Amino acid sequence: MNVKTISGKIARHNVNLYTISTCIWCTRLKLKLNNANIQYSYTDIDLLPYAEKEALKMELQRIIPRLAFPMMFVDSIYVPNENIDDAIQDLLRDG
Amino acid sequence: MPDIEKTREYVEMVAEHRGWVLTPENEMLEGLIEGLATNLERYGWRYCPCRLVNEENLEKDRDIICPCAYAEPDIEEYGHCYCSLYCSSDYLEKGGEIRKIPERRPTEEMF
Repeated sequence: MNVKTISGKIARHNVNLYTISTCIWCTRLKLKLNNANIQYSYTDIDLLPYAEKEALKMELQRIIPRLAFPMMFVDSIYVPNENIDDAIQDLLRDG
Repeated sequence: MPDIEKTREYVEMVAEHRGWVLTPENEMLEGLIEGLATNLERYGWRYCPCRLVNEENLEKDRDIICPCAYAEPDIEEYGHCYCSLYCSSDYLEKGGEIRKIPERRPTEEMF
Protein backbone atom coordinates (compact mmCIF):
# COMPACT_ATOMS: atom_id res chain seq x y z
CA MET A 1 0.00 0.00 0.00
CA ASN A 2 1.29 3.40 -0.99
CA VAL A 3 0.91 5.39 2.23
CA LYS A 4 2.67 8.73 2.51
CA THR A 5 3.36 10.43 5.82
CA ILE A 6 3.63 14.18 6.26
CA SER A 7 5.38 15.03 9.49
CA GLY A 8 4.15 17.77 11.81
CA LYS A 9 4.61 18.95 15.36
CA ILE A 10 1.14 17.90 16.38
CA ALA A 11 1.47 14.17 16.32
CA ARG A 12 -0.12 12.67 19.44
CA HIS A 13 -2.98 11.16 17.46
CA ASN A 14 -2.93 8.97 14.43
CA VAL A 15 -4.49 10.93 11.55
CA ASN A 16 -5.11 9.00 8.38
CA LEU A 17 -6.65 10.19 5.10
CA TYR A 18 -7.96 8.42 2.03
CA THR A 19 -7.82 10.81 -0.87
CA ILE A 20 -7.92 11.20 -4.66
CA SER A 21 -4.86 12.90 -6.14
CA THR A 22 -6.91 15.05 -8.54
CA CYS A 23 -9.59 16.05 -6.01
CA ILE A 24 -9.48 19.67 -4.86
CA TRP A 25 -11.41 18.93 -1.66
CA CYS A 26 -8.77 16.35 -0.81
CA THR A 27 -5.97 18.82 -1.60
CA ARG A 28 -7.70 21.41 0.53
CA LEU A 29 -7.81 19.09 3.53
CA LYS A 30 -4.14 18.15 3.12
CA LEU A 31 -3.25 21.88 3.03
CA LYS A 32 -5.35 22.55 6.11
CA LEU A 33 -3.46 19.88 8.04
CA ASN A 34 -0.10 21.12 6.68
CA ASN A 35 -0.92 24.68 7.76
CA ALA A 36 -1.98 23.48 11.21
CA ASN A 37 1.27 21.51 11.51
CA ILE A 38 -0.64 18.29 12.18
CA GLN A 39 1.12 15.05 11.32
CA TYR A 40 -0.86 12.71 9.05
CA SER A 41 -0.66 9.89 6.57
CA TYR A 42 -2.58 9.68 3.33
CA THR A 43 -3.26 7.28 0.52
CA ASP A 44 -4.15 8.62 -2.93
CA ILE A 45 -6.49 5.81 -3.92
CA ASP A 46 -6.59 6.67 -7.63
CA LEU A 47 -2.84 6.05 -7.90
CA LEU A 48 -3.01 2.49 -6.50
CA PRO A 49 -2.79 -0.57 -8.75
CA TYR A 50 -6.27 -1.69 -9.82
CA ALA A 51 -6.65 -4.74 -7.54
CA GLU A 52 -5.40 -2.82 -4.51
CA LYS A 53 -7.73 0.07 -5.25
CA GLU A 54 -10.78 -2.18 -5.55
CA ALA A 55 -9.92 -4.04 -2.35
CA LEU A 56 -9.50 -0.79 -0.46
CA LYS A 57 -12.81 0.56 -1.77
CA MET A 58 -14.55 -2.58 -0.48
CA GLU A 59 -12.83 -2.29 2.88
CA LEU A 60 -13.77 1.39 3.25
CA GLN A 61 -17.33 0.73 2.20
CA ARG A 62 -17.69 -1.76 5.02
CA ILE A 63 -16.93 1.08 7.46
CA ILE A 64 -18.70 3.91 5.63
CA PRO A 65 -21.54 2.71 3.43
CA ARG A 66 -21.60 5.94 1.44
CA LEU A 67 -18.18 6.49 -0.12
CA ALA A 68 -17.03 10.08 -0.75
CA PHE A 69 -13.56 11.55 -0.55
CA PRO A 70 -11.57 12.80 1.31
CA MET A 71 -12.11 10.38 4.18
CA MET A 72 -10.46 11.24 7.47
CA PHE A 73 -9.81 8.92 10.40
CA VAL A 74 -8.42 9.95 13.79
CA ASP A 75 -7.11 7.00 15.81
CA SER A 76 -9.00 4.73 13.38
CA ILE A 77 -12.32 6.48 14.01
CA TYR A 78 -14.04 7.97 10.97
CA VAL A 79 -14.62 11.73 11.03
CA PRO A 80 -17.66 12.76 8.96
CA ASN A 81 -17.04 15.62 6.56
CA GLU A 82 -19.09 18.12 8.58
CA ASN A 83 -17.01 17.39 11.71
CA ILE A 84 -13.57 17.76 10.13
CA ASP A 85 -12.99 21.36 11.24
CA ASP A 86 -13.95 20.49 14.83
CA ALA A 87 -11.68 17.46 14.72
CA ILE A 88 -8.78 19.68 13.60
CA GLN A 89 -9.48 22.05 16.51
CA ASP A 90 -9.49 19.09 18.92
CA LEU A 91 -6.16 17.89 17.51
CA LEU A 92 -4.68 21.37 17.95
CA ARG A 93 -5.90 21.53 21.55
CA ASP A 94 -4.59 18.09 22.34
CA GLY A 95 -1.17 18.66 20.78
CA MET B 1 1.47 16.83 -20.26
CA PRO B 2 -2.24 17.34 -19.68
CA ASP B 3 -3.77 19.86 -22.06
CA ILE B 4 -4.94 22.56 -19.64
CA GLU B 5 -6.05 25.14 -22.20
CA LYS B 6 -8.25 22.72 -24.17
CA THR B 7 -9.91 21.67 -20.94
CA ARG B 8 -10.42 25.29 -19.91
CA GLU B 9 -12.17 25.94 -23.25
CA TYR B 10 -14.24 22.79 -22.75
CA VAL B 11 -15.55 23.73 -19.29
CA GLU B 12 -16.26 27.31 -20.40
CA MET B 13 -18.25 25.93 -23.32
CA VAL B 14 -20.19 23.53 -21.09
CA ALA B 15 -21.03 26.29 -18.62
CA GLU B 16 -22.28 28.57 -21.36
CA HIS B 17 -24.27 25.85 -23.05
CA ARG B 18 -25.96 24.71 -19.83
CA GLY B 19 -26.59 28.20 -18.40
CA TRP B 20 -24.17 27.72 -15.49
CA VAL B 21 -21.14 29.73 -14.40
CA LEU B 22 -17.72 28.46 -13.37
CA THR B 23 -16.67 28.65 -9.72
CA PRO B 24 -15.50 32.14 -8.75
CA GLU B 25 -12.77 30.59 -6.57
CA ASN B 26 -9.79 30.84 -8.84
CA GLU B 27 -7.46 28.42 -7.10
CA MET B 28 -10.14 25.75 -7.07
CA LEU B 29 -10.99 26.41 -10.71
CA GLU B 30 -7.38 25.89 -11.74
CA GLY B 31 -7.16 22.70 -9.66
CA LEU B 32 -10.36 21.35 -11.20
CA ILE B 33 -9.25 22.09 -14.75
CA GLU B 34 -5.93 20.39 -14.05
CA GLY B 35 -7.69 17.36 -12.56
CA LEU B 36 -9.99 17.05 -15.56
CA ALA B 37 -7.05 17.36 -17.96
CA THR B 38 -5.16 14.68 -15.98
CA ASN B 39 -8.14 12.32 -16.20
CA LEU B 40 -8.44 12.96 -19.94
CA GLU B 41 -4.83 11.97 -20.32
CA ARG B 42 -5.11 8.95 -18.02
CA TYR B 43 -8.45 7.52 -19.10
CA GLY B 44 -9.37 9.21 -22.39
CA TRP B 45 -12.33 11.14 -20.98
CA ARG B 46 -12.69 14.07 -18.61
CA TYR B 47 -13.97 12.19 -15.59
CA CYS B 48 -14.90 14.16 -12.46
CA PRO B 49 -11.61 14.80 -10.64
CA CYS B 50 -13.28 14.35 -7.24
CA ARG B 51 -14.40 10.78 -7.93
CA LEU B 52 -12.70 7.43 -8.45
CA VAL B 53 -12.64 6.00 -11.96
CA ASN B 54 -12.81 2.27 -12.62
CA GLU B 55 -10.22 1.97 -15.36
CA GLU B 56 -11.13 -1.67 -16.08
CA ASN B 57 -14.73 -0.74 -16.83
CA LEU B 58 -14.79 2.81 -18.18
CA GLU B 59 -18.16 2.30 -19.84
CA LYS B 60 -19.76 1.98 -16.40
CA ASP B 61 -18.45 5.38 -15.34
CA ARG B 62 -20.06 7.37 -18.13
CA ASP B 63 -22.24 9.05 -15.50
CA ILE B 64 -19.20 10.83 -14.05
CA ILE B 65 -17.80 12.25 -17.28
CA CYS B 66 -17.86 16.04 -16.80
CA PRO B 67 -20.48 17.48 -16.74
CA CYS B 68 -21.62 14.51 -14.67
CA ALA B 69 -25.16 13.18 -14.55
CA TYR B 70 -25.54 14.60 -11.03
CA ALA B 71 -24.51 18.19 -11.82
CA GLU B 72 -27.99 19.38 -12.74
CA PRO B 73 -29.83 18.13 -9.62
CA ASP B 74 -26.92 19.22 -7.42
CA ILE B 75 -26.87 22.74 -8.88
CA GLU B 76 -30.61 22.90 -8.39
CA GLU B 77 -30.47 21.71 -4.79
CA TYR B 78 -27.12 23.08 -3.56
CA GLY B 79 -26.22 25.87 -6.00
CA HIS B 80 -23.18 24.08 -7.38
CA CYS B 81 -22.09 20.65 -8.51
CA TYR B 82 -20.27 18.02 -6.42
CA CYS B 83 -16.74 19.17 -7.26
CA SER B 84 -17.95 22.83 -7.33
CA LEU B 85 -16.80 23.55 -10.88
CA TYR B 86 -20.24 24.58 -12.15
CA CYS B 87 -22.46 26.93 -10.17
CA SER B 88 -25.80 28.61 -10.58
CA SER B 89 -25.36 32.36 -11.08
CA ASP B 90 -28.47 32.99 -8.97
CA TYR B 91 -26.92 31.10 -6.09
CA LEU B 92 -23.69 33.11 -6.27
CA GLU B 93 -25.52 36.44 -6.66
CA LYS B 94 -27.44 35.69 -3.47
CA GLY B 95 -24.12 35.27 -1.67
CA GLY B 96 -24.19 31.45 -1.67
CA GLU B 97 -20.92 29.88 -0.60
CA ILE B 98 -18.94 27.06 -2.16
CA ARG B 99 -18.72 24.14 0.26
CA LYS B 100 -18.43 20.37 0.11
CA ILE B 101 -21.85 18.90 -0.67
CA PRO B 102 -23.04 15.30 -0.17
CA GLU B 103 -22.32 12.72 -2.85
CA ARG B 104 -25.47 12.05 -4.87
CA ARG B 105 -23.99 9.23 -6.95
CA PRO B 106 -25.10 5.90 -5.48
CA THR B 107 -22.13 4.02 -3.99
CA GLU B 108 -23.19 0.89 -5.95
CA GLU B 109 -22.15 2.75 -9.09
CA MET B 110 -18.58 2.69 -7.82
CA PHE B 111 -18.27 -1.09 -7.97
